[in-house]
Amino acid sequence: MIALKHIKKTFTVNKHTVTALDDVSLTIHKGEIFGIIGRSGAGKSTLIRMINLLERPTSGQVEIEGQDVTKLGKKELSKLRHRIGMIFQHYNLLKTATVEENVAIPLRLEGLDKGTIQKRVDKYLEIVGLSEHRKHYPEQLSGGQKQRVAIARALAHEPDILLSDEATSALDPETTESILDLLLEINRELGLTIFLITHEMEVIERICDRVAVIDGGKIVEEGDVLDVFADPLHATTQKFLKTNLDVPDEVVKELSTHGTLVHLSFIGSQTEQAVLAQLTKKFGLLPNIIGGGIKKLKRGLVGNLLIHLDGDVDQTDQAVRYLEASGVKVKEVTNHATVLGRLG
Amino acid sequence: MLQFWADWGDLIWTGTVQTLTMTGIALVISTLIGLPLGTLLVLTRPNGRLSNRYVYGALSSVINVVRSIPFIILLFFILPFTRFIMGTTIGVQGVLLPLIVFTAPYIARLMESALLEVDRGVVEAYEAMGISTRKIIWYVLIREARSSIVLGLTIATIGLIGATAMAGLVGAGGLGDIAYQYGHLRFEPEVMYVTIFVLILLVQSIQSFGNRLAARLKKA
Repeated sequence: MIALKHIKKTFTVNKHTVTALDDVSLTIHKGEIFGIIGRSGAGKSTLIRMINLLERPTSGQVEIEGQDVTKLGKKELSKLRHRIGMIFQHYNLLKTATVEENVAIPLRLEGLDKGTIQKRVDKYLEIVGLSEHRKHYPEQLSGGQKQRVAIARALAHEPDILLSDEATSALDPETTESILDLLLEINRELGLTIFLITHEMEVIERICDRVAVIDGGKIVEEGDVLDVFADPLHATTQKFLKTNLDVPDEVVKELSTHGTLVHLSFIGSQTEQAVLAQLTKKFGLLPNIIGGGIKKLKRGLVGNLLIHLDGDVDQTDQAVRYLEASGVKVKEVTNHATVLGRLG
Repeated sequence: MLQFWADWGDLIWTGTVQTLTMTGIALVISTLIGLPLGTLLVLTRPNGRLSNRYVYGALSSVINVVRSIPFIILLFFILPFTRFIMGTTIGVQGVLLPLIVFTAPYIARLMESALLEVDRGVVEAYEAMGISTRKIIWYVLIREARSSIVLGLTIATIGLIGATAMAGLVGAGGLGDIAYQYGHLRFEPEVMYVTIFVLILLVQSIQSFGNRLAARLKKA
């Protein structure tokens, strides 16, 4: 549905050229929720603005349903933008307008007739659960409610695509959850394709089908959320996923001096098997569990374990091979949770 | 007291009406010039939506130059220009042009700062919805800034009342003229006190009106 092809974006700041995006190519399928995760300054804000051309690429193509939108004229671009909704971290509502006016005004400016506008305002305020607050002003609402108004405003254009620019980053955890649930509902029931950027792993975990990790203007990892969570390859991804499970560096260092520290990840049903017990039974190893947890992703479960194997090299090798054969992803962990490579 | 009003009432009333007339007309025309100029400043400034450093630089310098000249000097400095445009340099007609030349750039700056307060994110949101720049200016920028715009215009109005006091020098009348002609030159201190009192009353009510209107427009 959306295809970004070799997007490059450079800015000139004080006569220096800064590369914000470096040869980024991505494909977003119809009906999916695609998430971009990255630290601030990684280029994700610029990237999301490429899709509705709030920022124009220095080179490369932005294709929406096969059409290169960078070549559109003013009028066609405006029409395209009616089909792409966008929500923001700071909601960006009119402070001088009530909830219903905030939804209605853009529709009026788009040139829709009164009857249609009224119907859509009613419908979408109902969907976001704000019908009772229609006469209120944004300042009288909580952050979550303001974001709901912004979502209703975006949906009222009846777009095919929704862009979400850090929509939950200014919200507390509970409100974040309710907004994410709302986005899921919209995706399922209205069939909207959602493209979002975030720096919160939780957002990706809960609602995304696929994810791309951006760092320094480059996509460093991309794939199905389940796969990426189970087997993160790039250091940035591992940092976001906390593959060291928040075990202090000192402990990791201490344990690395004798034996081997390994990180195991399990997908779905494997989380239920008692593979660790088998290590003791088969190889006489006593795995010491340092940390672990199970994450519930949109499409399944991913389990993570950090274990310490205190045995000789042969024993450890065999154990790792056995684990891999049972479908567990295994990585050796050293300081700062950097992975040097697979064992065995 | 009664005697005072019998002697001076008409004169002070006429002066008040003259002051209000000059202020009113000059304010309307200056706003019609100043608001678009202020908008243009915001649009063409660096990082503005229609960023253009030549337009912005030229406009900004002209505004600064005009604003550097005190009104009393401007009044005489542009005499030939006033005669050319208005056909006369005296009376209310003769003072209107200098008042506008003095006030429009001031209003442009006040409008600029009012519009700059508008959250850029809202503008971006409307841009993302495919709304044209022209509509964004009116329905987002000016709408969101309306409270600050009213406060700015209140300040400009009070400035204008002050400027009209000097209009007496070209025979345009007004309260300032009365205070000078009668209060000072003919030494009628009561006339001076009363004129000042009327001016205070005017400024107070304009400021309160502006504050109240701004608060209402702010909503929420």
